[in-house]
Amino acid sequence: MSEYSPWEKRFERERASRKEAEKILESKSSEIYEMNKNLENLVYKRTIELEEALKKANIAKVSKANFLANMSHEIRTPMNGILGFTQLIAEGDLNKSQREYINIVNSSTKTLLSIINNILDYSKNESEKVNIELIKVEPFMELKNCFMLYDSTAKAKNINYRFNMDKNIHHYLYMDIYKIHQIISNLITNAIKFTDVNKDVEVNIEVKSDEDSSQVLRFSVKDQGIGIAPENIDKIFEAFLQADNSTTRKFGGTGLGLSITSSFVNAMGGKLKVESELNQGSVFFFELEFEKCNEESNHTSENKSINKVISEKINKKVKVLIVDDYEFNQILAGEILKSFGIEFDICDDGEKAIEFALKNNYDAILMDVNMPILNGLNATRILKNTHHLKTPIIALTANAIAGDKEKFLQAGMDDYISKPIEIDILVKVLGKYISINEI
Amino acid sequence: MKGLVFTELLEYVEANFGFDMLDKIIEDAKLKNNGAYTQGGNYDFDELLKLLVSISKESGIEIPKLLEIFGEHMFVKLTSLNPEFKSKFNSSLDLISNVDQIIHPEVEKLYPGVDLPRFNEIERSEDTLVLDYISNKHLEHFAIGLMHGCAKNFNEDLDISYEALADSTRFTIKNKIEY
Repeated sequence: MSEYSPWEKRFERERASRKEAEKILESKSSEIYEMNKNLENLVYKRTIELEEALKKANIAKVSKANFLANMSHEIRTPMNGILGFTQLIAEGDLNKSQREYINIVNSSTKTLLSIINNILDYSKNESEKVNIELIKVEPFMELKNCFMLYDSTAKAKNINYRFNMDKNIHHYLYMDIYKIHQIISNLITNAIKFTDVNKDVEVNIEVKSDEDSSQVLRFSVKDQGIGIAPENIDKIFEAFLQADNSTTRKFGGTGLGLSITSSFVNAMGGKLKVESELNQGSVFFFELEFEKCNEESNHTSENKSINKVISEKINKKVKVLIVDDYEFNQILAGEILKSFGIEFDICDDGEKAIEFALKNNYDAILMDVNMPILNGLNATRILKNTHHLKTPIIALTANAIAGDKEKFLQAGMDDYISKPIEIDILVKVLGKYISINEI
Repeated sequence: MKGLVFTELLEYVEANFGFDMLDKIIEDAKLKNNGAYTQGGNYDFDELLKLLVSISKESGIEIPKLLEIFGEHMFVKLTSLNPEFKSKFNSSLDLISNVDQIIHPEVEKLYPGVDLPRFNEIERSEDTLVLDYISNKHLEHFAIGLMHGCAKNFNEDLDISYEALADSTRFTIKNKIEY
């Protein structure tokens, strides 16, 4: 090298180091390429594993849904008995206090049923898709009944329990009364639970604005309980969370209440809010708009007209087939039909139902779905598809999971009544079909 | 030995002693590749020793002193390549005591198989750190230079002493700045 000038040597050094750097770069590139290939293989393998896991999770989800459907049936069947027979007792001769008690039993049962439905809904992760069912109600009576439910609990704790309802609330409003019941019940239960003896719990319902066709009502439940610390205020509407863990130990509860309550208020277009001071108490409040209802066609008179329609047909000998494997369901449906003078036959499985339906000329068939030997869906398919029976078949079932109605209609059923049977709904649905098939 | 040490050393010599002297140093050192180093390459430690001997001869600076000066310069270069390391530590002692736990593991990720010295922490107080340096290359003075570079970075001044043990060298590092 010494025969070269220093600059030539420098140039040669730079060139050699550049070449080496290029070699290193090339080898690093192949290294990265290999690593990338391995990574792609790993991603592919992991994706297959994830797809497998997803498949398993979906199977588990279907099992869970089936389990919930069965649970729904199992819980609703005895509820059907309680609610139905309570309604029948209420129809009879009762003294004033007996009527008051039976109304409370009835109202509690409906609330319990609504809670069961909501827990099932919640378990199915459908809490955000709460279905609102508006019916005409007398708000004053309904809300007072709800308030009265907790009167004895409050008295037992020596709590000054007050209820103030604005006199200007419209006589009839369209509302989802079961959900309103549940919201108010939940807030009152909490207020009583967290308030000490000799303190106040106050429920206020006032008209916030009044239009020709609607009213905005403000509901508030105020307590003098333990209150909520500012840092916990946002947490209390989350599922399974209470203000802190010691709350659960001291006061009980699932921690689901306020989350469901809040989701119901949201679904009805309102927002559940709270103002609270630690150790002073809390006020839970919300505002909702309700459509007014024409008093000429109120709930009671509508029922009367349906009852009248059915009564008129009694002379023409209306006959219905009840298909149900539970004896008390048979008795209940029978008692309701009897009270309208409707004749009926009873059988307890799908096979017998086909036999009865083909032999007799019924005006309607009330068909249970889950039955031994042949279930209601298959019996309906045979009657409608094979024998081309025109008689309306109404599903009468405790399977109240969303999507069931479509399944029943697809099988050829004409309508659907969810158990527990409510007299009004049974009469309304039955009246619709008997009127269609004029005899 | 990583090529970065070689390329930095040659650039440092050229910047401080000029191109002609660098050429002479390379010529005298009789290096395997005639001094054509690249930052990402790996070279024999013996080559570095040859270079150090040659630089010392030409400059008249003792090798230990030369390593200390170069170590101090190297710290600045290393932190400019990896600026995130500096912000992770609060003081020079904090950084030095974490070389084995935090810095070297990252270096190993970047250069798999790299031969790094080990630093075992023996004692640590607010202003003093005692650690054992273990390396068959025995670049203690390079380590001292790096530590002084580190102290400068934190506007600190370190008093560093060392003693040879059977398999290691024990450094006692004191921060001269009073808290």
